Amino acid sequence: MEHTDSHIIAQVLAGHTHHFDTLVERYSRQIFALVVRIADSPEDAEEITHDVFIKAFKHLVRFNGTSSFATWLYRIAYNTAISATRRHRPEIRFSDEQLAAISDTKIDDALDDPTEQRIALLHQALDMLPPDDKALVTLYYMEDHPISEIASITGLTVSNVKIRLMRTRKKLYLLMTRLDET
Amino acid sequence: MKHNTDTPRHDCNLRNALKAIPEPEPRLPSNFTWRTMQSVYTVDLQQKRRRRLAIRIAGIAACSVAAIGAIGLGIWLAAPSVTASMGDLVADIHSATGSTSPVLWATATSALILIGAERLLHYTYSHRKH
Repeated sequence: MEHTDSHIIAQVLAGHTHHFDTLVERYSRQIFALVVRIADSPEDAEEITHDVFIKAFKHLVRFNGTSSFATWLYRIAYNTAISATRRHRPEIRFSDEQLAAISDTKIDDALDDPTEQRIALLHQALDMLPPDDKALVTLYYMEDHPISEIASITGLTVSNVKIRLMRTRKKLYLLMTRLDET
Repeated sequence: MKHNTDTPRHDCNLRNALKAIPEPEPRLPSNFTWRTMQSVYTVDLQQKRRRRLAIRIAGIAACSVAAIGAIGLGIWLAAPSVTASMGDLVADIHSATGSTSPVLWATATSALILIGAERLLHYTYSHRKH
């Protein structure tokens, strides 16, 4: 029988720390999948994933069950990955005017019937995004998390998540255009 | 897979294209288990404890030196006569008993200051922790 997360957490908090292995087994792939998209290299991603579980174990007593354990773990992963990656990379900035000049549907039009080359371009553009934008794209588009859950993970409001996603779509379009021209 | 009901219609192409991006390689290694993590965590914890102890000892030593210095300087500045009479007293005790009393006095005072500093540090640390 598969135990629920809350049952395992209660066991770990009662001193049976080896039960934490079940949580690691259950969530490490998902957490790594998010972190590896944000981090600079798979080696960094592995180290960050490691840190995420150590932090979760250390602060497990603070998990109060207001969100699911997975959301709580994603929140730790998001914060750890962002702070580990942010200091490494200079950010490509776009002005508000540049972003306002782009229609929100532009990126979708550009990817209508995408070729392999367009997907490679999108991949490159995605890699150029700042880590927090990349995390949003990964959570929303690649892992299909609902916006309310993303808000809970990132600490943003629902409307902020929507606005950030809209700006990120425009940034992706601008980056793809720039890459296409070079 | 979960169905995401938040998806606006004008996002479908982007979503499909993003999902067509190949998964990053390599994947998480198979030995990524709590058992291996826990051993690293235990070593980290021991290192942290040792570091904390070293900081505590250095802190106590620094506090003691500063406290003894400050008390001595304070007495000397505020009441040179007291310093002189204390010196006389110590000399009297020394000559009367012929023992190493001044050394004992100094040791006892230092020990008291050390204990006080240690308690103070301990209190500060546990107060901050909770």
